[in-house]
Amino acid sequence: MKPYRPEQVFVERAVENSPITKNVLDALPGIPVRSVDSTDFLLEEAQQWNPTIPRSKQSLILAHHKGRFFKPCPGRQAKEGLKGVCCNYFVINYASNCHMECSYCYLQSYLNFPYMTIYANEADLRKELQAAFTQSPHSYFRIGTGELADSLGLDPLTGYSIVLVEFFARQSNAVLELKTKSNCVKNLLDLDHRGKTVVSWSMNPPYIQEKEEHKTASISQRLAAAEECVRAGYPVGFHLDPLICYPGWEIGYRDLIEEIFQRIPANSIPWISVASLRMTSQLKQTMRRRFPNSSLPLGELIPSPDGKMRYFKPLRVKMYHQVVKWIREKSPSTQVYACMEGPGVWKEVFQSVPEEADLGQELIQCLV
Amino acid sequence: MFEPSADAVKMISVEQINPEDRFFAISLPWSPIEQLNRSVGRTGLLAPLHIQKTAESQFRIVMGFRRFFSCRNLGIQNIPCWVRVLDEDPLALFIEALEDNLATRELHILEKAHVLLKLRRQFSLTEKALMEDFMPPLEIRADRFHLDQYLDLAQLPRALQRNLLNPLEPDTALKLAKWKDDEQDFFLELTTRFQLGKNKQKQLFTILDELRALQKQEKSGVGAWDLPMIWQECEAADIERNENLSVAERFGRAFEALRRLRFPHLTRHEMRYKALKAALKIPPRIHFEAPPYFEGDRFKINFSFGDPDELSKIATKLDVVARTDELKEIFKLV
Repeated sequence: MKPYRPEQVFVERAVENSPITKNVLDALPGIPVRSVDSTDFLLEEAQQWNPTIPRSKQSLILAHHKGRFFKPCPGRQAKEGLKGVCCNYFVINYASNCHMECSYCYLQSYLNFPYMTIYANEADLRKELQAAFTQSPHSYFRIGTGELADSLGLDPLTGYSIVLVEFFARQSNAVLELKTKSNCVKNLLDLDHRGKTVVSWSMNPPYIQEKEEHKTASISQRLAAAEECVRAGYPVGFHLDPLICYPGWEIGYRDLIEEIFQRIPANSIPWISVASLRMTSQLKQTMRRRFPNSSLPLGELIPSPDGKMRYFKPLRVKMYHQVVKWIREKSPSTQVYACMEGPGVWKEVFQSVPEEADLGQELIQCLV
Repeated sequence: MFEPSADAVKMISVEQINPEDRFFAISLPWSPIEQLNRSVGRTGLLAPLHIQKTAESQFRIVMGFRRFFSCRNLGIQNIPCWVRVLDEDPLALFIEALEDNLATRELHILEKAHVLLKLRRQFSLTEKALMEDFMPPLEIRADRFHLDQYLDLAQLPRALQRNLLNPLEPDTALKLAKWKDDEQDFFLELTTRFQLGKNKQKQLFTILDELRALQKQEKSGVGAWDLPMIWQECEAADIERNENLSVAERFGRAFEALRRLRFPHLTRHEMRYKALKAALKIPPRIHFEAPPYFEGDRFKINFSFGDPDELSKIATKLDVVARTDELKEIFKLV
């Protein structure tokens, strides 16, 4: 992975004394740092740039998160009637934006505030989580940090994972998932995680990684990092997301699955998710402008009821069938689930449509 | 500020005015002036031109390009003009010309684009000044994205500029500018031949642009088909020559041919569905619909009836349809 090094850092005064701020500033000697009361002016500044990305990613903002950190996964909040099968997932937005450059990344057309932002008021985050866990002692929460940012891409600067893994190790009704395309696992290896953190990787065949996932760790580096995590006792997950239809995809994904199970013991993998490529029409335009050599927006994508474009359904069902079959051949016990797909696809691929609570429960059971 | 006095108006010969000097021009050289011709022909020129001396007995126009051309078209030899003094600030004169135009008519998108380009290049104003002082009165959202878009529009090839808004949409024109000249011409010919409105033009551009990009990627640029070849290969060219069809039918079928090339799986599925649906022999008064793009698992049937007998007949027909093998096959398609 190409390490992130910003050209400047803005620190909101409210988080000047945060340990996360200290970690970042210690890790970036020589980078100009500016203290500011608020970063609102930066948004106005960014609106004067065209294109906004990649310039906005050259500034790192250490901000005070004023809203809620802890939210249900947006997949759960989809409009009624357009809702996919939900796995009862929650997200923590500890940061927003990513310095890696995956051509298909939805953040390109999603974020209003386009800078690399880390919310450094981690004490507020822990307080909010603790209150939620205490308030619902009979619920079991599966929570990820990889919704608006890579969970570990900036960890060498922030050390956020240490705070989170140690916090979750003390919880009886919650598990953390750190989802990444990096190989930044060094901070995790000596922590007392007590099996309450799953480290997971988004995976694609090396051909796609090289062509579409710019600045990310190679597939081999990701698997090496996963091996280190397994040695440190972590359960590890994999997300075949987005599944991409390209000439030779069968061989690419079959070999990828083969390699995963060759290097990682099946009993260390609680879950693998599959999800086909999807994009809004706005993202499609952004992709064509930013990545003119990418073939992804030229795939056979058609509008779905949720407004996103996906591969034509029979095509993606065929892909799911194959990939799920290859995973099951390697490990019948690993839980495989489809993300952002409706009941129709579930029925065809998995022969049943689980209830929301059941799927979440089944995934948690894999960890026990 | 200009303070006119009646005795400053002079009659100047059209020969002495050089309309090719477009330093202060706001209107486009090809702006339509038929309406103005009619008006000047009926009542004469009511508002004098503003001109500036450039050499002995030679003038350039500050305000009134369209009025000048109208007079010349009508054979008027001498035109009433305010002669502006030479040492007036050119930017101030240009702003006057702009205000004069803004106050009297709606500016074409390309006129706005050229105003911004002139302010940036000719008068060296900063982008900030353009965004703060000029984009709001031009009714353009004052941000960098829109500024760049307008500056790009003003620099489109002349052929695309001439077609902007009629028929070309600005977004399409900007994207079209990235194509090769002969491909631009090919697209413009198609939009003209098929008399395409805004939406169809956008659809056609999108599908051709994607097919073109696919060709380039699949064949790594070497041996990739250009647009006329894509048009030929998918048989759209043959369809276009079919004189038994109306222009709209020809476009519809040619577009379908392009879709088959762009979405081979989807269109094969659609054709299979169409054949199976036809085999169900559903009467036209019953509308039978598969989920859009075969996404989802709910079918729709709509019908109306005027009396119980009619309802009973429809119910009987639907009962027959429900038992057919073709319907089972249709369900397999989704």
